[in-house]
Amino acid sequence: MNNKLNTQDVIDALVQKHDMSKKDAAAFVKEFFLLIEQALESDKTVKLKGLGTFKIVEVGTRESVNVNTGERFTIQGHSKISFVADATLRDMLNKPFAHFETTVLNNETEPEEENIPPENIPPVEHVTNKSVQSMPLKAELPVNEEPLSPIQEEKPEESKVEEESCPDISKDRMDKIDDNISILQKTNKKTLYTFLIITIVSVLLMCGIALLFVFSFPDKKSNNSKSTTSPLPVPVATDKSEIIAIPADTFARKAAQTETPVKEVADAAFKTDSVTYVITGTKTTYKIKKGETLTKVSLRFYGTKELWLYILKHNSKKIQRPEMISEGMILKIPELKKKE
Amino acid sequence: MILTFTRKFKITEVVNNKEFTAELSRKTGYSVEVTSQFITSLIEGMSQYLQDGKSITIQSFGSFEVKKKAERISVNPVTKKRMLVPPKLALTYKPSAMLKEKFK
Repeated sequence: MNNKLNTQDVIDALVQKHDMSKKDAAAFVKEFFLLIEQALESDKTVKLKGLGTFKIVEVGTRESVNVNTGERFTIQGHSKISFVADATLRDMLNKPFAHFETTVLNNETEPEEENIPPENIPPVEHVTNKSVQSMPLKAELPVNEEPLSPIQEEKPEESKVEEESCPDISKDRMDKIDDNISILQKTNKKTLYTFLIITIVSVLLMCGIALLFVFSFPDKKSNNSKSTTSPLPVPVATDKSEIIAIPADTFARKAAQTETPVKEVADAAFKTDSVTYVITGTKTTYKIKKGETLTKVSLRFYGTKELWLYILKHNSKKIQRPEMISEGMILKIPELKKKE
Repeated sequence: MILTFTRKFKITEVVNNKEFTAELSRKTGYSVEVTSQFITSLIEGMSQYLQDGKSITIQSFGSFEVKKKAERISVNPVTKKRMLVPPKLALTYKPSAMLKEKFK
């Protein structure tokens, strides 16, 4: 709590500087401030050398809003006291930051947050003027009766310990600012390029994924399954290029937008090369699971996806279009007999 | 020139050191030179405390405190140039409630 001083401390300081009684000093100090007040009243501006200028400033009427109720109200015009420190005093107090200067910026973003905590103001880096020191502000000053000047000399140990922090901070600060300026100037272009590259790559990736999706659904479900749907898991048979001769009328009627897959497949249970089948009845019924398609069902029952059309035809009453099968639907799986 | 008893200072709207010292000397009874010295010492003493980072509160007058101002970017409205203003320690004065009321 040494950081908060009151009138008494000021009086004591005066007593120490001059050989005057405490009573006289107290009276003087009180009179001093009282006079400032009075002078301000009568003359609006009081300028004291070594301290600063006190000024009465008029503030105009303005509208404002009550934060709780939201209603508007006017703040009446009034005067307030402003104070500006004297140049000498200002410089004296700013000693820790004295070597900074305002610089012109070129296309720089906001500066980083000042990382010096408000309480811990660093001490002076050069100890050029010993009589006027700015000591570590967290230093605990013992309250003592000694005059002020010896107090400064007693604290050199502490100031030495923390001496380094100020130059480091200040140099770091300047370096940081310089680095920021140069980096940002370079990275302005860099970031643009990287952004472009990322966009292009991601677009390509998405196209690739989309293509994969398209290719993995070679059945009626995907509206645009063209004849070139390739990823059929079963390897191609030796005698190639035979097309499934599905009953033409069925094909024309049922397989609406889609062109049937033309690739030929080595059979598991059914031969599909130049062989047509006849539906001889219902083999069994099957309940569609979630996400299942006719090709999958065909695969399950016939060992090949190719014969989904038969299932479609057999269930033509239920499904008008090949993609219109849904979870839970019960389809009749036809019994197929070769028709050579 | 001091006009009347009540009207302490010249009608210049600014009270400077000379006038202030003169009036204070008159009030306290010390000679002008002595009051001048006292004023200087007083201010010096306060400055010393402020330099050490302490805040000073004067009853019924107000308080003086050294506050740290963060660095900021300011734009010159004429030239449109952006300047980086460095951080600094500045002296602030806060009038006491009584004074504030008085001058409202």
